[in-house]
Amino acid sequence: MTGKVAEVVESSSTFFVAQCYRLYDAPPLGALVRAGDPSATLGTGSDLIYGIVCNVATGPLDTGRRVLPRGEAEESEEDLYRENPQLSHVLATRFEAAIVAHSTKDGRGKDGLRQGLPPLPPHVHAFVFPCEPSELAQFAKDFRFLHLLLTAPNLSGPAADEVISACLRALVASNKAQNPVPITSGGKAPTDERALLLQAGRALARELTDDAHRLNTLLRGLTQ
Amino acid sequence: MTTNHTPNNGTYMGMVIGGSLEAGVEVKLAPTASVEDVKVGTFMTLAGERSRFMGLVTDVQLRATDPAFAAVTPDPDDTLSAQVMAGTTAYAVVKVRPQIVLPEIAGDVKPGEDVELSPAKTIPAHFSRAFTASETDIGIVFGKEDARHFYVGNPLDLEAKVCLDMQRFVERSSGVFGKSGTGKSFLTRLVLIGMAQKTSAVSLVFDMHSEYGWSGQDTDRSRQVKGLKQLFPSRVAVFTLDEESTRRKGITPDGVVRIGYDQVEPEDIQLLAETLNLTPNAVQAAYRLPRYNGWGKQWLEKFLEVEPPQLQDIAIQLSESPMTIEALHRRLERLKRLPFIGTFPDEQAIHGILDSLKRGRHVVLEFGRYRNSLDAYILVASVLTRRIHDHWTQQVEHAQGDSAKEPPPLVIVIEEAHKFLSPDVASQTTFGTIARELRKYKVTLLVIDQRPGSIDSEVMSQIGTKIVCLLDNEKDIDAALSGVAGARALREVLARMESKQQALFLGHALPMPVVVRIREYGSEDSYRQLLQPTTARRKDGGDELFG
Ligand SMILES: Nc1ncnc2c1ncn2[C@@H]1O[C@H](COP(=O)(O)OP(=O)(O)OP(=O)(O)O)[C@@H](O)[C@H]1O
Ligand SMILES: [Mg+2]
Repeated sequence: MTGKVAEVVESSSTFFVAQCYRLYDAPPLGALVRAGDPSATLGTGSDLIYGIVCNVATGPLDTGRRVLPRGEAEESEEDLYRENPQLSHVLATRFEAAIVAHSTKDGRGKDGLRQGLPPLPPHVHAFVFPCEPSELAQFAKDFRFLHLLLTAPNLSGPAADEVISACLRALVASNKAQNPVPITSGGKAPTDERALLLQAGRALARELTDDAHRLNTLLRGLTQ
Repeated sequence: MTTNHTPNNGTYMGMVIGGSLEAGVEVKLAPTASVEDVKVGTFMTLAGERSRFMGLVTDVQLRATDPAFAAVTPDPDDTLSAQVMAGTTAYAVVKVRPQIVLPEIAGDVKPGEDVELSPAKTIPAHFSRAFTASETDIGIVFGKEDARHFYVGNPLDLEAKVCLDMQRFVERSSGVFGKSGTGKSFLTRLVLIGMAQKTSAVSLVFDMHSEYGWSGQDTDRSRQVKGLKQLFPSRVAVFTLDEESTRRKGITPDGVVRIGYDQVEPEDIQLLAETLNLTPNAVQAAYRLPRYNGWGKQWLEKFLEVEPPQLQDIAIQLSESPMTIEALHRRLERLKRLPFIGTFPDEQAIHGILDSLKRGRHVVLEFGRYRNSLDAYILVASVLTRRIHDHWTQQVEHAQGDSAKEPPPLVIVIEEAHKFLSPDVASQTTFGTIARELRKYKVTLLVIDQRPGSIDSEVMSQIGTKIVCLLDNEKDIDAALSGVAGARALREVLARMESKQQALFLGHALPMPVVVRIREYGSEDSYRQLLQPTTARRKDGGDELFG
């Protein structure tokens, strides 16, 4: 299992903020991440909460302190970081994730992975992991989460459509890598990339029946 | 949700999203269904909460959830966008008119089995699922080929059979309409065969172009096709106006028809007004002529004999203008050219026809070389129909409800029907009377016409079963569909039919309107199939088992 990459530092019903253990080590925009450790003993910690990375930011740990340029005398950015080892302690990378799904700890609960908001958001200090391919596959069974993404309060402006496209592209790519594991959904079996793209596209279309322009932008983003 | 195709439930097509009983329901096509697979005139079944409905597809439309989708169209190379939007934001709507409520589960019923079919009095709820009608569904609604149902053809796109309830068919007057060359004569031939096989009715066919008796023409294939006499020799009698031409075909007619002057009545002259170019005044004068000089029934013969000076006297006596009388005289003289009209001492022909009909034989009257003489056709049909209708009326009244004494139901078949049933004359002629009195005296009409719009609308409203081939004149389409529920929707169906061998059947003899690809007629195979024994009824007095 992939190791944890960050820890929840702020949590609310629709999104959480996580701080990376290592500077610049955030999952990419649109990636599916999980807050909560399935291997931790049952009954402790929060449920498993899934979010989609929708904003990544790096800045001073202490927001009162301003960051100053330091590289005038350096040959490269790399040199700069080497000469100033304290930087990795005064700077921090954080990301926001829009919450889109949750599941009980073992992931095999009655409902398995459920899209939608959890009853409670993740605990602060919950560990954050990139998702396993099997989780991605389970997640891509259903595109109802698009509704949450499209209306997420912390996701608006030009970034919103990029995040959605990136997320769908990632799901499709992961499905392709996973083949021949078939993904079945609603009686249909989109075993190939095209079918999954179509399914994702149709889910978008259902959400955007009154916004031709946005739908077009998103669909174009799907295949780019 | 099952989307699989099985013969019993058809292919899943989409969901009901709105509509009304009058205009039909709207079915939004599922992304999995292609709009190009849906044809106007085909059938769909709608799975409501408690009932399954069957309806006719009457229109297909493309819609979008947002008008902007028309402006922001996907890139032509962007097949994903196009494929995604088709069926979601841009979708097709099919209009379906629910007509019939089907039995619960089609799979339990075999075609031909008797099942309860009731007319749809409501429509399926929102989001009811729609399927293409299966062979089984069609079979249940139209497909009984039995003692009273006659196979006329197949629906569009399916191989199931469409059968006409011939007993209901002959209960009321009926009509075959369509442009020239659409297949009216071929259809009529089939219907007459159905009548002979499935009912005890007899027909009297005024066969203008000699195509029903011994043989007919297949103009497309340049060949002869068999007439009724060849298929059912003992059930059909061929009479002729032109003995020579009938004999030339190698058959001996059962009778040669002559019309005596004394059988012609002013009513017949009224029907001829248009072809003889008579003014309304001249027609009125004809009605008065029998009163002149005690001519009575001899009026026509006497009138045609008079010399011009006497016309003056007639005009004075009947208080008509001399010009009117002269014109009438001049025009009626044309009748002298028709050799089958004259002074004949007996009424052999009429008795021969009556005798055949009463013995359960269908009578075809061929016009031979008078095929292009409309005045001959109108006059003969008018005179004979009146005489025969009078006779039937008497017989029925005489029987006083004792069905054993009643004559068989009689169907009078006329072409160019609007000449007999135009609004000007329909109220005064025997044909109008027959159409209006329904089957009280067991006589009905089968009218064949290219121009139903010229037939009196009241007569049209009495027609029980209509068989409508392609028509392109608006007035004719209106007339053919007048009094039909959902006529507007059916217009769309009608307009999209093929120009040949397809017809919209509607009315009394069918559970619901249906577009039929008419079964082929004219090949050896077609005759064999027509003569194949089904459970045909045995005729009283008949000498063979038909069918
Ligand atoms: N059921 C059929 N089977 C085979 N051929 C057919 C059939 N119906 C129509 N046709 C073809 O179409 C041609 C025209 O049909 P038909 O003579 O019945 O037309 P119509 O409507 O009676 O025309 P009109 O008004 O000129 O009398 C036929 O000669 C034949 O070639
Ligand atoms: Mg014809």
